[in-house]
Amino acid sequence: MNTKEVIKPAVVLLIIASVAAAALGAVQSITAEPIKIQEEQTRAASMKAVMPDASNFEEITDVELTGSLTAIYKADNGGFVVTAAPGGFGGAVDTMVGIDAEGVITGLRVTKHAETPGLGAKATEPDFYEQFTGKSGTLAVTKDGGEIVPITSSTITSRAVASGANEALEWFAANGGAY
Amino acid sequence: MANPLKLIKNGLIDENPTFVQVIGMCPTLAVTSSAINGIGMGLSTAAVLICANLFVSLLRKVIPDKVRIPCFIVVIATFVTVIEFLLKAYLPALNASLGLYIPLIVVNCLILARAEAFASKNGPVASVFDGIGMGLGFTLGLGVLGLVREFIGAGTLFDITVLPEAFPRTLLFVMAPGAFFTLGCLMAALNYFRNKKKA
Repeated sequence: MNTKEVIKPAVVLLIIASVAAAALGAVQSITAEPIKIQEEQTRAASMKAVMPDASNFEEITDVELTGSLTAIYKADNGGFVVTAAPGGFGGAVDTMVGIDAEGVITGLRVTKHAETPGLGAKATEPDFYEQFTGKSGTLAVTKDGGEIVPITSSTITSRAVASGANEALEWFAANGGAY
Repeated sequence: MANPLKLIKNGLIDENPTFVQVIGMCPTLAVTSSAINGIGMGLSTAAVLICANLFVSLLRKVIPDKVRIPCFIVVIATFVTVIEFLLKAYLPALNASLGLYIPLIVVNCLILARAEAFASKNGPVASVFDGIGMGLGFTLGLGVLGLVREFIGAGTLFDITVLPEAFPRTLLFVMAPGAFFTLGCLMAALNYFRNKKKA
């Protein structure tokens, strides 16, 4: 086989891949900062949504995160914002729960998910998430004997969100007083 | 150079990616549970398709035949990733609704198919018009599928309720099987009219 025939395509592919990698690197470094700012703004907005009475949230770093819990924030009104990533139908369902000093849910939002559009994705609609506001103790969907009305045909997603809320409530019951 | 209008009509109707070429079926079936989802996916695919066609066409004389497929894939994946970064950084609202679908574009064989069948053999201007035509054709296909499925499955069009509450919804249509039923029926109907026209 002719060596030129082998080397030329390899070199061209190498050049194209290198140019692409350089372009991606450049775009990534330019957009990294704006993306971070956007993500922080989104997170601040959803924290405010799950706990309207608080204005400042500080992440608690010296805490053991059990189960699917991903982060815990202490609010300036004595409550906590807990984020969890319970497993849903299409992967993790990132859930953010606000719990006040008495252990009552002040709000819940699904912040990120990969559930079926038109079905499980309805977890981001007020009809579903507003059910959690004002609840405490242990939550379950109606099928499991609880009072959360699940999204039609999306029991798995609904159970995931409820389990995220439960993990947050359990963490608060066990450790809330310590912080 | 071929007539731009002809290229657009070709993509929209004669060689419609969804109903005639039947390619890119994975996103077609997966995301068309509502009209908005279908059109969003269609338009983001169109944007990538136009950019990828342009670049593949510009590079067509440099790329050796033996490594053309890996080269095309690098070009396509780069564009998809750049678009994802830009949307995340500067258009968070659009990213919130389309973000789920953007990584799916990389694996859409429609883009690779057009790079292989058209852009690698034609000039940049014709390739851009082919991208516009095929992109709009794909959007049309996904939009129609989404409209029909949303109407039968949820009783809404573009999230606006059109069927009276008492009318039963066939939820199956917004689930996976509904995608196959709808696509099959639409293709049968289109073929019927096409054959009738020929006869």
